Amino acid sequence: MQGEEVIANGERQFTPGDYSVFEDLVEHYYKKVFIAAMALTRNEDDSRDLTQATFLGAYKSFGRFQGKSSFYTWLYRIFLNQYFKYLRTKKKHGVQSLEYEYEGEDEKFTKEIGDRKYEPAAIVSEQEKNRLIRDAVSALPEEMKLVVNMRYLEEMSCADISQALNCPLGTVKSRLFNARELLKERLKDYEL
Amino acid sequence: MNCKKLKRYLVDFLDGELPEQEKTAFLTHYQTCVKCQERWGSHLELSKKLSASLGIFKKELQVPRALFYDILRETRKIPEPKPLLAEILTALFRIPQVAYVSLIVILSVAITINLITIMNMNKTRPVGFLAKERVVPAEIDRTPLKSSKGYLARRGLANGSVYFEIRSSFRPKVQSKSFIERRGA
Repeated sequence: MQGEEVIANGERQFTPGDYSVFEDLVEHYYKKVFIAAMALTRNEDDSRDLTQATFLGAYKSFGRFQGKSSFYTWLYRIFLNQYFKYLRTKKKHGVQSLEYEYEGEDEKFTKEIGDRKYEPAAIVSEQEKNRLIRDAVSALPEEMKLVVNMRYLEEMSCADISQALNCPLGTVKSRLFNARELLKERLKDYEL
Repeated sequence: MNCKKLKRYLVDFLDGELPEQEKTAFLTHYQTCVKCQERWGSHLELSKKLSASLGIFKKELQVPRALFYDILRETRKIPEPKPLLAEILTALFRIPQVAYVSLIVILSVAITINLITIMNMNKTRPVGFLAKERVVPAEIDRTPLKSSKGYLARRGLANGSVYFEIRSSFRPKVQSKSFIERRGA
């Protein structure tokens, strides 16, 4: 099966540790990783760096991938590690907080809406509505933002999310539930 | 299904992980219960909107093709990692013949070493000077030493001499000292 390409359900099938397929894997997954990075960082330069760092990390430890999980779940875990590293760097430079700051988050979201001129009456087009929802997701506390993006953008199941984040399934479900509650609360004035 | 159960199944329903039977019960209750519709309708609606909004974002986002070449250029700078010894051994042991033969060799060596050790355990071997003279020692008289963990071995030799040896309980080869007291000396 070495070198043979089979793409089933969007997943690239290959022999674990076969470096000859790495280029194909980059081709197949770099867009997905970049989109995931953009959804979390909302910055193109940072997303490019994150995507590159993810694939470099994957290349270095590709020999240790045993195929126990799907390749994308494994790659996503590397991406998450890089993302956490990125957050730590940001925190060090005082740009973003990793802490759960429920009191502060609402202000942050309101401010973002203000900056982007999202007055309730001005939200008419579907495009604006979608952007507002994405802004609301971005303003969620970090752990909630992660699960929401993994669930709705990556379309991962709760079990896959819990495996990737290395946390119990119940925690993933409760974070999703709380995230929806918070979003609902924040978007209630906008009649979406 | 009741309102309490519906709340419990809500996340699984939204994630499409609810079994068919429970899903039917969930929907039947939801469509008839105004209280549940008021409480959870926004969740269901929001879930749909999140999927749609993030789906559009995924579709519309322009991914720079240059990024693909950047990644390849960066990865080519790194030499292809060679498999570690442990990985080579693991790969070798996956072949049944290699695994069986290795197991038999390891077991044979271990059994042989054990047998040799057991056979030599109670043998009194003449050391140094005694070995050269080929004198078979007579009975051993062991006197425990007070000062250290060991004993004084005294043997009457066939030529009339007495062989003394101080043996330590640990590392006997390094610690043991022997001398011969010749009769009439």
